[in-house]
Amino acid sequence: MNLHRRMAIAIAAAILPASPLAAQPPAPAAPGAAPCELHLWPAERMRSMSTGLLGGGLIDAAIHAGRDASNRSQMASALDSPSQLDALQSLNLIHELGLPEGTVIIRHETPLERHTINSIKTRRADSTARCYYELQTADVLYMKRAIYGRSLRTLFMLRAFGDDQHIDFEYKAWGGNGLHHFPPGEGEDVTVAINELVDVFKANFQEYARNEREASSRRRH
Amino acid sequence: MSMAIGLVLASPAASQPPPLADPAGCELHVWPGDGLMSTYFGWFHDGIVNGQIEGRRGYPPIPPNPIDTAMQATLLAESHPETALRQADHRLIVHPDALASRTIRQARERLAPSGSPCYAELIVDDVVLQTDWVNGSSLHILFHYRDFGPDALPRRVFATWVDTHLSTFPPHQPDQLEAAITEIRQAYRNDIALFAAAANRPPRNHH
Repeated sequence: MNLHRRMAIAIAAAILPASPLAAQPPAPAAPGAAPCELHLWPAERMRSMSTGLLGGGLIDAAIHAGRDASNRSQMASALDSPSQLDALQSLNLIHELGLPEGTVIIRHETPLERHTINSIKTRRADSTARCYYELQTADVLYMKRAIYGRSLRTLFMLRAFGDDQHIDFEYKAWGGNGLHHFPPGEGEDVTVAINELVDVFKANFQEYARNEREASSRRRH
Repeated sequence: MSMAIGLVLASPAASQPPPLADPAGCELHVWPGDGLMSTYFGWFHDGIVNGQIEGRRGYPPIPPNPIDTAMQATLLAESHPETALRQADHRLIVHPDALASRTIRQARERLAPSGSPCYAELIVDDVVLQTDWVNGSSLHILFHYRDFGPDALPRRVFATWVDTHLSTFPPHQPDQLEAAITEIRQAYRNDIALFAAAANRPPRNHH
């Protein structure tokens, strides 16, 4: 995962030096203060990119178009919006992201439109909480390469707003891990492959969150 | 045709048994899926799940609700999956409502409150219109089959995707609409048969 880690660090962006994000352990909530909010959105974009010995290009894409289209459908099913949110909420998100204890998690079942994720820089939820975070899942990408094999990569973005509409801290990065069972062969039982996609999605988030905590910690010191 | 087709309310938490269930008889409970999903892989746009359903820019539109839950229930009843699954002695009970994927994938016990001594389930999980720039469109369906026999937990679980190519759906001209709707419904019937054939095959030996 060294490559992924390097990519994660390269993509990470902190906008202002003062970051409300805490390094481990999570910062305790101020006594009597209103709880912080963490808003979750699933991804709406699923892509599959298979390359063979041709190494990519139009002919390679045409050769693999059917398989890639099938992979998209299977990913859209296995990682539909409720499944993405359930997978994330099966983890201790507050600890994973190093957020203040007592942060309230709010699910948004409908994904944000992908093309608005980068362009809209204000709060995406109608909340006036004085301590407000967003975790947006931007992309889910299956990759198969002739030499490196199969992997599932996921692009996450955390934004911390503090008490206004201005982003105090942003960290956007990929998490990626290998696949052994997905995609299943034609007519094979797909139960293991579905479970693997969900498990790797969670592992991708945990990899992302580790890097996010490191980036947050570096900003604070 | 001696097989009974019953429509009962689908509720895994219901405490009352289905009104048409026969405790002494074999039962195949069938649940339709939610409405159509879409995935699209085109020249200039790809990846947005349900981009066609939602009418996103760059995603070819499709007719609204071409194969909704009620239509799926009808197609399932007409297709007699109990025969295709080699369980012709099972009473077919088609539930009118779709189950959530979370329920389908996490459930261990019987989804219907039935005490049948030979109980099985066929569940439609997702129905996807899949389009790519090389192969065109097809109807992909994820089915789950669970055979419990007399037990509370399944003896056999099998789930797989099947697909049928579409040549007319989605329609490009208004006068193609009727033929396109007929085609996607026939593809649904064909997918039921393809799934049954896959479920009837002996498990593959990977050793």
